Amino acid sequence: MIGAIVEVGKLLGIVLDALVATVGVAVLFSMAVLGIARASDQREHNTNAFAYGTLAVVCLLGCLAAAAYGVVLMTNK
Amino acid sequence: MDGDIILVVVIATAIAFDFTNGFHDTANVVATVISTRALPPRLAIGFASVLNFVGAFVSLKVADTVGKGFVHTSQVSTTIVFAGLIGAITWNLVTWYFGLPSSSSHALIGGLVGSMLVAHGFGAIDGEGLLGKLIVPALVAPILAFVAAAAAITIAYRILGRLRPGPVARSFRLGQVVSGGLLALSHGTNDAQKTMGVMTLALVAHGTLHADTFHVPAWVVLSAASAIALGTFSGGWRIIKTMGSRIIRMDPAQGFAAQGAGAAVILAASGAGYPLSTTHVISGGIMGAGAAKRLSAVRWGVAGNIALAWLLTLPAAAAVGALAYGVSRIFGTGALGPLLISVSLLSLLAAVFGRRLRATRSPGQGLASAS
Repeated sequence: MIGAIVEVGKLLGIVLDALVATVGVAVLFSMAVLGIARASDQREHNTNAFAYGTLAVVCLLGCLAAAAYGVVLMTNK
Repeated sequence: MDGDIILVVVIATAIAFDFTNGFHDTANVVATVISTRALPPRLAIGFASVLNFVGAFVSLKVADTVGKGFVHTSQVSTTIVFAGLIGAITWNLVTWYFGLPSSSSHALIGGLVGSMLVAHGFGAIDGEGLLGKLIVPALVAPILAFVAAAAAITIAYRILGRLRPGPVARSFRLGQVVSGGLLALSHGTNDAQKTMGVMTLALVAHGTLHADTFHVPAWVVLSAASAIALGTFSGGWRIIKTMGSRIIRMDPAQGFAAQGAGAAVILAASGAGYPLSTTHVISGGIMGAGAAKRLSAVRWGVAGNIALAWLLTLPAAAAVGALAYGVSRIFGTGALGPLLISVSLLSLLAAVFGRRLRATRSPGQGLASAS
């Protein structure tokens, strides 16, 4: 009876979306912080910081894209 | 004439509810940001109130109007809406007084359900809608935010393990400003919309607007946006203190994980049309971010009090809504009942705030009890 009242499929979809979005953004942001820190260390030691710098920029762009998608979701509600 | 007076009282009460909603829920957005010093308190609250105001204009599709799906809206009258609002305002003020984060949305739905029950009986309540769209999602949401925040912080700590803590904390503080902004925007959209829906429902019940050409007037949007932003700006410090430091002592990465989980759960749920409580979700996220580091980092006694407030929200707001409707009907169907109840509530509020003001002016009172 509960199964008929509660939209189980819809709820599972929410669970999956929320988990993927939270963990995804946390990974992207942490990688960006890691990239910034490592690039800064490498610059201090006069070594090439391009790879870590690129990692930071790409991950930050991913985070900004996720935030922008959140705003789009809000406007379409 | 009586109908016009009741409408004015209902609109004023709805604006008052919206103010308490902003005031009560400031903590959802700013508690983590203040606690980790990502922003100074006044700046954080100003930032949140501006985004709450903007959020109210982001979407005007009142598809998830409060009441729709829980009660049969064709039977709603202005007095029922008034009594429901009184139930919600009363519960918001009681939980604010005890520093407990509870859901303003659930309080509003509870208030409306209570007044509808007294007015029309159980037949006017959509029990399946209440269970399927409100109660079950309300149970799932904080658990989901808890798990999501715990997973996010565990992975973040793994990635950042060997880095120096200073630069990491500074970066996560910046991240918190963005995730907090997203939360404030979604709060303004969600909660101001609910008040707009209630005000529009009252205008339809009064006959000012026609049900078949249902639209939200511009002055309703502007007043709801202003009330929630002003309420947020007034800041409920008691709840900010509970959420920011009494549940866990959090670092910026935990604050970021909690806010990120909160924003993700709210946005995923609102896409599916569930009126989730921002309060429940953020509290769950904060507990998850703390428990993932160390189970004993969470003050489970405080968490238990919060959970109890959640469980009581619907029945308590419903009881006050029912009482308000019953008392107003003692004075007939005119405007006298709602007017008397409003004056009584305002007098009670003036007395409580007067007492608080005198208490905060006395020496030794900290920031936490400032409002």
